[in-house]
Amino acid sequence: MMTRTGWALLVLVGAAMLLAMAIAPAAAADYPKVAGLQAFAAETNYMSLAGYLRWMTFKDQGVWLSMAEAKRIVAEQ
Amino acid sequence: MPAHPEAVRDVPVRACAKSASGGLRCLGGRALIAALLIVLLPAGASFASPQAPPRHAAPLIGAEVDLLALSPEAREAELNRLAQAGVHGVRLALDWNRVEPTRGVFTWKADDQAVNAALAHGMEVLLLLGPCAEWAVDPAQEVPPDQQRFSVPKNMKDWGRYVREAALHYRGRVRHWQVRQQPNLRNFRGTRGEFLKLLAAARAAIKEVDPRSIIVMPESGSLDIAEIARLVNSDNRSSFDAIGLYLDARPPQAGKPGDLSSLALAWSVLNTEVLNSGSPAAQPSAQAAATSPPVWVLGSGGSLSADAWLQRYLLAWAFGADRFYLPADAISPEWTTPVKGAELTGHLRLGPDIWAFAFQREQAPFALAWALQETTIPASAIAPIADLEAVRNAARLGGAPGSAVVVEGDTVALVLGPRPILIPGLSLDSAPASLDGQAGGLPITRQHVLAARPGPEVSALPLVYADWSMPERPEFGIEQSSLRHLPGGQVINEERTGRICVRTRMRPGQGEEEQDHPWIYFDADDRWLYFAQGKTPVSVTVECDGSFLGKQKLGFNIMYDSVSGYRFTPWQWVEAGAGWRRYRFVLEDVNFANRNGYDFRINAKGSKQDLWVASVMVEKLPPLRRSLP
Repeated sequence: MMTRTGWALLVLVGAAMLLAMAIAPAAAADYPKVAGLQAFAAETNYMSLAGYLRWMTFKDQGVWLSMAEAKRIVAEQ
Repeated sequence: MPAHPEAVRDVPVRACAKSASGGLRCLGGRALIAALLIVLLPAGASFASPQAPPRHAAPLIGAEVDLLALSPEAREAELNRLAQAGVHGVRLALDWNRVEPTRGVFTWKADDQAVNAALAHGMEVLLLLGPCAEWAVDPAQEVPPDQQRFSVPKNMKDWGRYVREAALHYRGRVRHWQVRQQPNLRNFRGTRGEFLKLLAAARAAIKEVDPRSIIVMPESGSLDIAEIARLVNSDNRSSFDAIGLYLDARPPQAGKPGDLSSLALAWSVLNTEVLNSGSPAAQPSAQAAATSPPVWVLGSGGSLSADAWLQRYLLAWAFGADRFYLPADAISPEWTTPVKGAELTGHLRLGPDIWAFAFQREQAPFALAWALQETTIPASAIAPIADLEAVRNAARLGGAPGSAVVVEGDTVALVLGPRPILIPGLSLDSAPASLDGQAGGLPITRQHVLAARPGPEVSALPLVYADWSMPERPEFGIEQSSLRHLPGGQVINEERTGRICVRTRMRPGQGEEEQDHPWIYFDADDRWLYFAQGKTPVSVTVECDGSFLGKQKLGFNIMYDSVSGYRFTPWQWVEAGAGWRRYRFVLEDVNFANRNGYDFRINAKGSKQDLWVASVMVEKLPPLRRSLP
């Protein structure tokens, strides 16, 4: 017979495991998250989100993404 | 004293509040489990048998060698040399473009010769799957022709077929598979999600052919512990059996990636706080504790000297790595033979300049020590001397006995340099201790690594700051000046209405990117905050000069290392008119794990004028504080 403490522990462990699984990476971790920024405003240097990501990636890593690639990355963010 | 601002702005990070709270709740739950494990596990273990101090066997040595590029004779000679040096295996690239030059047409001849040659020398083979077949790339993605191999296939079925055919072809010969080269932008132009799909598909295809196969997941580089932690604590954990690390190859810079001390810090946290192979007190996750994968070192992001490779091999040994792949030309019996069969028993010096570890082989203890720069120290500075005559034989690995000592009477001094030296005759029988009294056993924790670093103790300070008008200590607990080599970060010091400021140097025009420096980088002292995992919110207060061009002409935000990668605070316009302004940002989900060599940067791009920053203050906030409902 499981005690109340036992049930509580079981629930806590279960909840903790669910929450641990919920933090699966869903974004391109190597790219700054631009998805929450306002496009065509100062914070994106008056560019689209994909354009801003392209510019920033070039600035940071010296690689130009194509516009299609940048859109794909932003869409995943 | 400079005039201080009319108002301090509190700018909460709205986007992060929800995720931060979720993360903290999650960590709280896992912390509870960890606490239970701390209480239960040692008690249970004590009934079984007293635990011997942990020791680490040497990582198995693997060679990175392009066997396909060698003639049969040269290949044979190289494999003989490597086998005699104790090499356990080789890593070979199974280039998708080579084995499947057109869709559905496979050719294995060249790779078979390389694989069979390695197997004939008793070596295991790790096959590297990838890069992408160029014919498989979606033309609509407009990837430059010379970059297509770094892209991802349009159709996952193509990838699955390539992997499955490879697994079938090499069934019974190859059990170890790596999925793509380190997935950073240099090697992988896809998204994180796309990489995980490739990983999962490869695992499914390979395990279906041979369930005993080992799938190695490469990290993106620079020992990205934040990303590894996310993967280990997610359902993606089931997609790999071993974690592959790439050790950064950037030149040494104290406290920065590339520096051994930074590498050791990241690795200590990885072992004891992420993978739970270390101190039970640090275990954050019961799930991770149950399924901690072994760590394989897969190489480096760049070229390293043979001595630097050897140093990293010893570091990997200290941190219990399972396998260590390095370029074939860095492998030599000069260093593999003297350490053969030894076990690493503890640490003696953890840098940042002098490193030393304790070993034992057949009851005979010895130490291996090196220094980044040539230096001479008394042998007793490594450990107490037990046998002076034996210590006199201390030698560089590969050198003659006594080649690394200077003897004056009864005093023996060690000449340390980048090539490690082997020192017998030291008293290492009991738990070794470093000079500053830190316990030297295993596992190595972040406290061990940080205790070895010089500089003022800042861990208990409530805040750290940079104020470039302060005459003696303009940067205390955070660094800015040392980070001006980073991209877009060549800012300058300049006097502005009586104060020394850091000034951005922005160029608005296209084609002027080389001269465009809109970012002011900062790195918090690792002793103050490192790998915070969202448990320690901070505020960042920026003091800057007003906008002389007028309203909404000057602004900035902060891009920072969060638990989910780099993200931005909301944009903050700077008030118009002369005078100092202060703006405060609350960051609830910081990680500050030195990703890419910094923790946060002020970003003024989007402004019509430069930004003059007089001071920056970073303050720890109480945990679980909420600035938003």
